[in-house]
Amino acid sequence: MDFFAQIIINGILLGAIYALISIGLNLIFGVIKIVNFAHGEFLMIGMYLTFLLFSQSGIDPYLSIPIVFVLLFVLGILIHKIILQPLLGKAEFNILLTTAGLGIVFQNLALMFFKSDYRVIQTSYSAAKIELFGTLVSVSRLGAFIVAILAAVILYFVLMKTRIGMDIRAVSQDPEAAVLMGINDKKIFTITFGLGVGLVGIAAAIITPIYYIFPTVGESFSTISFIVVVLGGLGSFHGALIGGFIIGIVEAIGGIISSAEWARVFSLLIFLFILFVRPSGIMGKNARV
Amino acid sequence: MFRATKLLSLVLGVLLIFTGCASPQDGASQDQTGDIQIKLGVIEPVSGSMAPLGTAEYEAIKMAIDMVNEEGGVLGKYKVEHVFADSQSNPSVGASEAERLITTEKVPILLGSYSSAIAMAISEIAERYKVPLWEMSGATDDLLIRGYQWTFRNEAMASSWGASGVEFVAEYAPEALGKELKDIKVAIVHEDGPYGTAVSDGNRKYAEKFGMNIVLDEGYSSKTVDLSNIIMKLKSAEPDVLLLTSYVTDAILFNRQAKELGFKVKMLVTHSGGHSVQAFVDGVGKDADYILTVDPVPCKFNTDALSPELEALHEQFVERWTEKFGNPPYHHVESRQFAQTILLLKEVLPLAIEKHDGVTPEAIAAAAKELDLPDGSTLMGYGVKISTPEDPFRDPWLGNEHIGQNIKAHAYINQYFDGTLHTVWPEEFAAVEPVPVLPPEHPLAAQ
Repeated sequence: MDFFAQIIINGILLGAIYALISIGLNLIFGVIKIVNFAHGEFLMIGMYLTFLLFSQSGIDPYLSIPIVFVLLFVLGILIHKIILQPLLGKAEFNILLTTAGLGIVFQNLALMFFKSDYRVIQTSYSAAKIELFGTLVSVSRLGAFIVAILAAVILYFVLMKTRIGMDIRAVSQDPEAAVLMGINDKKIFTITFGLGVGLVGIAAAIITPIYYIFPTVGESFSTISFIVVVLGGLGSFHGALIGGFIIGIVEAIGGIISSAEWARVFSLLIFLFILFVRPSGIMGKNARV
Repeated sequence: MFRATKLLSLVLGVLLIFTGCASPQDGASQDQTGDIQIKLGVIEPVSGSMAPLGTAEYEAIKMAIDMVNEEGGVLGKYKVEHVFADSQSNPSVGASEAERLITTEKVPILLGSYSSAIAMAISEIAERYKVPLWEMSGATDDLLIRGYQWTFRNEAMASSWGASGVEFVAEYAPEALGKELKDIKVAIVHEDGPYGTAVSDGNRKYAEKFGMNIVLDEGYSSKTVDLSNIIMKLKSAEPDVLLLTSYVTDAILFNRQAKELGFKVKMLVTHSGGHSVQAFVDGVGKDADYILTVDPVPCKFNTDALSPELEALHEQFVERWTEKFGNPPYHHVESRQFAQTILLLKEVLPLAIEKHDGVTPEAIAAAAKELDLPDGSTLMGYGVKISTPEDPFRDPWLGNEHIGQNIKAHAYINQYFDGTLHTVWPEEFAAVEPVPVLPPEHPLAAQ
């Protein structure tokens, strides 16, 4: 029983990481309809920032969450204003290529500035664990779980209860009508992109004590975040959360009942199955052709 | 519209600069006096996921070439130049770059290539064009058991690392654990690429040969971001000995998650790859201590066996590397590439020039096959004798026939003490005595 409980806990903790990384990607797609192929690289940049704050100024990754969020928010806004906005409304393919290109540029800039070394930060809680109802829970993963839930709740309130959140939802649901109602859609797009990138920054700060940093670390997570987002329903806020937890738990159980090599296969099978039954994802609104 | 196009072309322009593959050396013009020109083709991944260590390997190769050139070149008179190509961590790019180096740049030999998968792809091109591939880090057995005649490897093949790991266990475990071989519970866990799979083949075959009890035998993808499921299985299997084969990130992840999930084991034998690089020590700190790792390269070993010139050369390299990069060269990456590039420049090419009148692909291949060096005459410790199609090497662990393999090569076992690796096996190269069982202060040590 403990064994099974432990596996479920492992899956939930992993799922929280997947979910948090995916929320920003999902937000950007849902509102601006941009598939951001540089998503993994924004995560990488956030991880390097967390690393620098920790190694240069001794700031704990959890305390650096707001700093990394703000820095990436600003980076997102700049990227959107300077590079992406002029392409909006033109051929979609151009934006796709541009975000993919940005990803490569970021990777190579990281290679230039940080060299190719693997960086790791050692915090007092990096491999610490606590016992909870007969299961072992990693402190840093539990922290990631809590931050993921908090971030999701705060984002939810921002979207539902604030003026800017309402504007974002309006633009997301019907851009033309929103513009007619006097909403500045360009501004909303820019803020949303910044917010999406900032959210990845939060994810970056909390996974830095768990993982390692190198210029291409984003690739390890970007594939899974695309799966999570599509599974949950592109553009659906709850979808990314549910998708993250489903993938996390399926991988944890799948790796036990067969071999670890097959864990990803199980999650991809679930992914295909759900797309077959619900082509627009679990929480997706419109069936897309 | 105009602005968008302009911006996009700017972005694409920047992209081209960054991803631009191999820039051919604008090397010195050749004199046409019939002098021998030596132009090596070097292929390493300096972009993409393998860039971290691929870049370091390339730097070491360049340093070996520079140092030989400063002495006047091969045989003291033939300068060496090289053309570099970036395989971008991608086997098919590696293959097309190999083809370009051979057909356009006309190189008579290829050096590389970091990963077994890339080596496999390049070796097919080498075979087709009959140009030697001097493989310095792709360790998979598959590379040399396909009957190919143009690929040469100085290092021990991956399955022999796995066999050596088990040999070490068989030698030390019965006494250290107070158990008979058949009662020793062994778990084999490996990354499932060509390298990890080949090592685990050696593990499995020899564990069976010694009659050990294999309680878990499983692979995983080295790109994974979660190893909890494999660690949970290890916890229920309760092995005495864990034979582990990983790359860097998964090695760090394994250590962290094993601690988080409370996995304990008595003997931990790893097989190079991630466990042999500085990044692992940086990533796990003191936990690295007492971990045993099977490695193709010795580290802080008993150098009495080496010739004084070789020792001096190695010291010179260490000094120069430290000065240039601020840290000493790492044995598993830089020293290893340096040693094998030096072997090519100081033994193979001179033989090709003196005995076969040049540095054509045929001359280099013939020289490589004729080379017969005793133990202690290379920076890797062991000697060199390469197996040929007429006299292939049949390995005792899997029974495959290897062509182009240095049959004098063998693996070493190194162990971490205070964050530094020391060779502990085989005995004649050992600098210190091994500590086979994890001591109680290690977080993964079983009581």
